[in-house]
Amino acid sequence: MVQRRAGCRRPRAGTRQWAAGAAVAVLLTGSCAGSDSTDETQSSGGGHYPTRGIEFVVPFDAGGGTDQLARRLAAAAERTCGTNIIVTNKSGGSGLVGLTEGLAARPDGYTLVLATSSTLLASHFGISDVSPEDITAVAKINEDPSVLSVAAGSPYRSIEDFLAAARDGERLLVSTSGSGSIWELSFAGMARAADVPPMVNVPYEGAGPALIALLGGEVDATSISGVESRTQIEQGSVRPLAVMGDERLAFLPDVPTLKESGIDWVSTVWRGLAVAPGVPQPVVDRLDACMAEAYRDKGFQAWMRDQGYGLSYQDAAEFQRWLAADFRRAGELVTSLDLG
Amino acid sequence: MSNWMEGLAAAFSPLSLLLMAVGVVLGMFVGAIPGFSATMGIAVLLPFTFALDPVPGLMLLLGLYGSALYSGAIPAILLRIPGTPGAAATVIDAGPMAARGEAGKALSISLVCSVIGGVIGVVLLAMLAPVMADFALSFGSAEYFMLAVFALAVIVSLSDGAVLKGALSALIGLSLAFIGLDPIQAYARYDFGMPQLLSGVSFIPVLIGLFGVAEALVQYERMHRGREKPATAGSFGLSGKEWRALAPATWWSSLSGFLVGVAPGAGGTVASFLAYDHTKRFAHDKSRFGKGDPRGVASAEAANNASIAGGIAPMLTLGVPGDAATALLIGALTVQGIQPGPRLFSSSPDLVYGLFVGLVVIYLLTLLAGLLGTRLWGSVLKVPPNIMWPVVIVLSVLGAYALRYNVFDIAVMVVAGVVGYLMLKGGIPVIPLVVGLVLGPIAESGLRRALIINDGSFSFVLQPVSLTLLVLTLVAIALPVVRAARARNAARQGKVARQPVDHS
Repeated sequence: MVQRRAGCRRPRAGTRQWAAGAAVAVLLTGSCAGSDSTDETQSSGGGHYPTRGIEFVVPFDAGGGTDQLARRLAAAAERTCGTNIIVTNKSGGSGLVGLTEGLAARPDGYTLVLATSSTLLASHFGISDVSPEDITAVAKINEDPSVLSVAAGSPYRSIEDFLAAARDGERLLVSTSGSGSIWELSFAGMARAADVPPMVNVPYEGAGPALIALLGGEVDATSISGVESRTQIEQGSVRPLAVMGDERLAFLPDVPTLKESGIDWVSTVWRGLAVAPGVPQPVVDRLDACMAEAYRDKGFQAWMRDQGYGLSYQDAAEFQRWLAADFRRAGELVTSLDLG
Repeated sequence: MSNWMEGLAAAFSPLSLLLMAVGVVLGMFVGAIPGFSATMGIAVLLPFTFALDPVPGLMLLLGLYGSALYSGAIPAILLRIPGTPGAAATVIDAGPMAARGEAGKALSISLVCSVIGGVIGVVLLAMLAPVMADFALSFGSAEYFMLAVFALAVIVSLSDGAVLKGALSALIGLSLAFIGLDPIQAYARYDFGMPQLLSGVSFIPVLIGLFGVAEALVQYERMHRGREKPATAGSFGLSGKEWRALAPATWWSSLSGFLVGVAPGAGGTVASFLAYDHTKRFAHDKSRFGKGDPRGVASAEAANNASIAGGIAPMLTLGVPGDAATALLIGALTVQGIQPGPRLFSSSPDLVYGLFVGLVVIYLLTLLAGLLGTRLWGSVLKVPPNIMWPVVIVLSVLGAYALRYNVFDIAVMVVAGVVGYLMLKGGIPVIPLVVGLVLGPIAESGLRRALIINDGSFSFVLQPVSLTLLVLTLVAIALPVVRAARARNAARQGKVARQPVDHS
């Protein structure tokens, strides 16, 4: 539904309307009727929010995991928030372009942006200056732990085997998805917590190539998330050794967490919703409430479970506090591991 | 055999056939408008497939994918602007053909050879899919690096007669590829503090600018100099003899296009340039390449379309996407609870074999739609230039923006347009720049990863695949040099020297 309305945007962004319109023109016949009839002149600060459509900026390409997740949530939120939610993909700069634009929008709550751990992590590598203070948190909607996995033919049968090899001075290669990505912190932090020499990071352009490298025997392990390697794990071509979450994963009930193996280390990626700083509190509260309801939507929950995405919710206040803490923790880690 | 029956039944259900036709028609538009890529079209259609059964849903997406790669050639022929990146190589010979009033023939060739290339690709996929997994996996970082180096050497050597200018152009492309986040360490390079440059100079706006805007500027200039008789499309038919002359180029290009497509990430652009190169290299009469040789059009188009099937191989056999488009196709399947991968052959034979059959049907539908439409496309040439080229510029702006709703991309496109115009004026071929920009990141990250993996040693060059590619690279560089030296010798001995040929 959201997709179909892409061509019926509010006239605010004229060019974009044209562009999106041209792309889907053939599909649109008839679906635009009535969507322009909401009243834009009403005040946006008070209890009337929302009086018009909300733009939901996804800073990644259409069709990717993050995009699909956002679109599913938006579809549910259209009902719970009682307005159109139009997803726009503003990709580039590893998610920074969309995040920066979304946070720089007029602070009226009509521009929502999807924030991810990697877009905030960029600040610690000196390539961005977005910090939690620049963000008004709305809700955290997902958290996925890193899963340290090896190929099916690998000699390492358990996380203990793997760490023992590292302790023996073996040069272990771990594939990750992208430079400065959270997954490098995952295994580097794990190595530190287990007190073994760090493994070697081999970054690839995304989780797919990182997996191919593992299957092709180019690297010894990968630290991408369980969702990303789920297909190969279930096919038996990839062997998961340890989950870096607080609890085991629902679709990997036999794979222990690092904590169970006596290594005090947790590493996850998260996705959340944010608006620009300065958005009035009543508006944030309203968004918080209707997004929480959208998150609880049966269809959304079922889809998340089917895909293997971790369901993990925090409301606005909790997410804001947690963002600051997570940001600080990642910063300390980058500094102590000398990655930045 | 029962698998094939299941596949036939799945592909020939009324809904599948209808959705294939819808996909093919949509793909025609998406491919023909520069800036709208097949990947984008698939992304837009993806949510619609959630409500469909897996096979019909996949048919809709594949219909769009297949026909978009064909229709990318239409603007490449008529306006010298590739509609999709894979059609960039088509411009080399289709442009001159159109200029001398043979646009109709070029359109027919691109249609027929796209379809043949596509079908050959599907046949190879159906026969070889099981063994393709190993081939795809044997392509590691070192192999990617060597493949990129080989392809670059080939592109530069293609501009023989102007090798230095070709190399210059490729180097500009390569240096543009350095802009953005370092692929290995998170470090911003040449971004001038602009977050828009962090992910690098994006490829499509550059392509639109270099071809679309630059061409429009050249045409404006011509209009100022006085009215020219607009070129006509000419006849659309080819004689049996003409078709037969294209057969070897089409066959070999389809084969190599398929193989390049299997290596994830290389894609249709590289496939079509490599095919163009070997067609030219093994041709007896090379003199007409770059000046409107139909074989150039045939090989670029056949390879471009055959690479689709190649790209699907890693998806089917490994469950890992080769490029953005197949990543979306995998998304379409996983949403339905189907996991691509080797087990797909036993768990959902209707889907796998339906996909094989469906792709063939899609190409036949593309052929039909193309035959019905070819004369219509040709009439674009009847539009007066003073209306045509402003429209092209508007579409270029639109296309650059529509890609990812990024205003910065329009600026990139404009700059690329001006640079492309200056390069055209200076006789510097723009195609090596495009290829440099595509291959730069592949070569760089491939090399650096290979060095990390081998702990700083270059020994990976001696692995079988790398070594083969290295030898091919040396041959590609040496041949034009040897040929030029021979020509010089011959000239010195008073014989008729081979004229250097200018390709652009």
